[in-house]
Amino acid sequence: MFGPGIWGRLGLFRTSAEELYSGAPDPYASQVVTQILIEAGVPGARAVVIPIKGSDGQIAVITLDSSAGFDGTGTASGNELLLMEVLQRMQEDNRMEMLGIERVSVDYRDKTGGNLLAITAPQESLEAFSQGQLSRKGLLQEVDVGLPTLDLQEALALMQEGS
Amino acid sequence: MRLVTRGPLARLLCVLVFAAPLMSACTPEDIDFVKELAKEWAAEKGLLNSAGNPDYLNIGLLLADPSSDPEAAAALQAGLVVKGVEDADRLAQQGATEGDVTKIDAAIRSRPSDWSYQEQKSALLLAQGNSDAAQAANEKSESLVRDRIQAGGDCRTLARNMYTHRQNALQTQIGRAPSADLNEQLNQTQAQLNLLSAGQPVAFCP
Repeated sequence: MFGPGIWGRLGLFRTSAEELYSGAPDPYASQVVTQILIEAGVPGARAVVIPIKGSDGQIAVITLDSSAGFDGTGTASGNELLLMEVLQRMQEDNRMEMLGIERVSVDYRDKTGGNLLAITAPQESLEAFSQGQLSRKGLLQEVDVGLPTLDLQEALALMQEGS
Repeated sequence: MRLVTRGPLARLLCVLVFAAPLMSACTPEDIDFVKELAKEWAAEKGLLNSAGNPDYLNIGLLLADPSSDPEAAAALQAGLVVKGVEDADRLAQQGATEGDVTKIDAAIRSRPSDWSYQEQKSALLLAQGNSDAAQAANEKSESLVRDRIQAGGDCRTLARNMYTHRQNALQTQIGRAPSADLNEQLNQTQAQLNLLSAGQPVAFCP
């Protein structure tokens, strides 16, 4: 969904996100997930794991930053293989290291470091997908996509342009 | 705003469902793969009509209804929060390495519920010989963490979080100017982290 666009501009979701993720990032879990990304060979990638207020879980925010050297990861199908590798490692470490990650968000930043595109899914769905217990179709139902800095008009204009 | 771009970023943008012009920057195999994936995703979300074209009514409803999945909606803004964390971290780190507590205070004002800055403030104040104020900052940090636990957070995960920040902050100050007070507190902190790592009880989580 592109939901947070206009509401984000109005500050509603941003306020909610700032409140939910207002605690200190978990340095240990952040390091574990960042290491997974480094070992998978994703340049310009880093992770920040933040406790979710009102929950015993955490969100892993993976930043793929062009301004920090992220240069894509080969072909799109190659990206999916890489994604699977990262998901499987995250699943193992989430359990073994008791990281408490219950949601993953991927944030793409452009050459200037601007937030361009965000994708999120529950960790449970990602784990089920990586174990073959959830189809790609099932996973896509659980995935949400957002353009954090675009408003309603801009998002609709983009869609019309592309249709 | 126009998102047409070339290079690796454009490939990433290919996942945007309706952004066909962006495809011009992708390789042919990327385009086919991503188009199919994007179509699948849009169909699952009800964003395409029966003819396979964007359903602007449903898209508009999704845009206009923030309550459909508030958790996901907040998660999509998490990247912006992380950016704020990075800015505040830079400021606090500067304060810690330059011995300037006002910079750490500015980070605290920016993210008042983030206990990592209280830990950095405490370590710096201890390094400066102000042990009472250092203790107060430690207590503030622990109070913020306890609030989280009361709100449903996991005590051991949050304790590991807090003690790791404390350890890092103390190590930074020991790197600047070692002292017996800093070393003693570092030893105590590491002992708590060892207990947590071994699955043993810790005083913070009775």
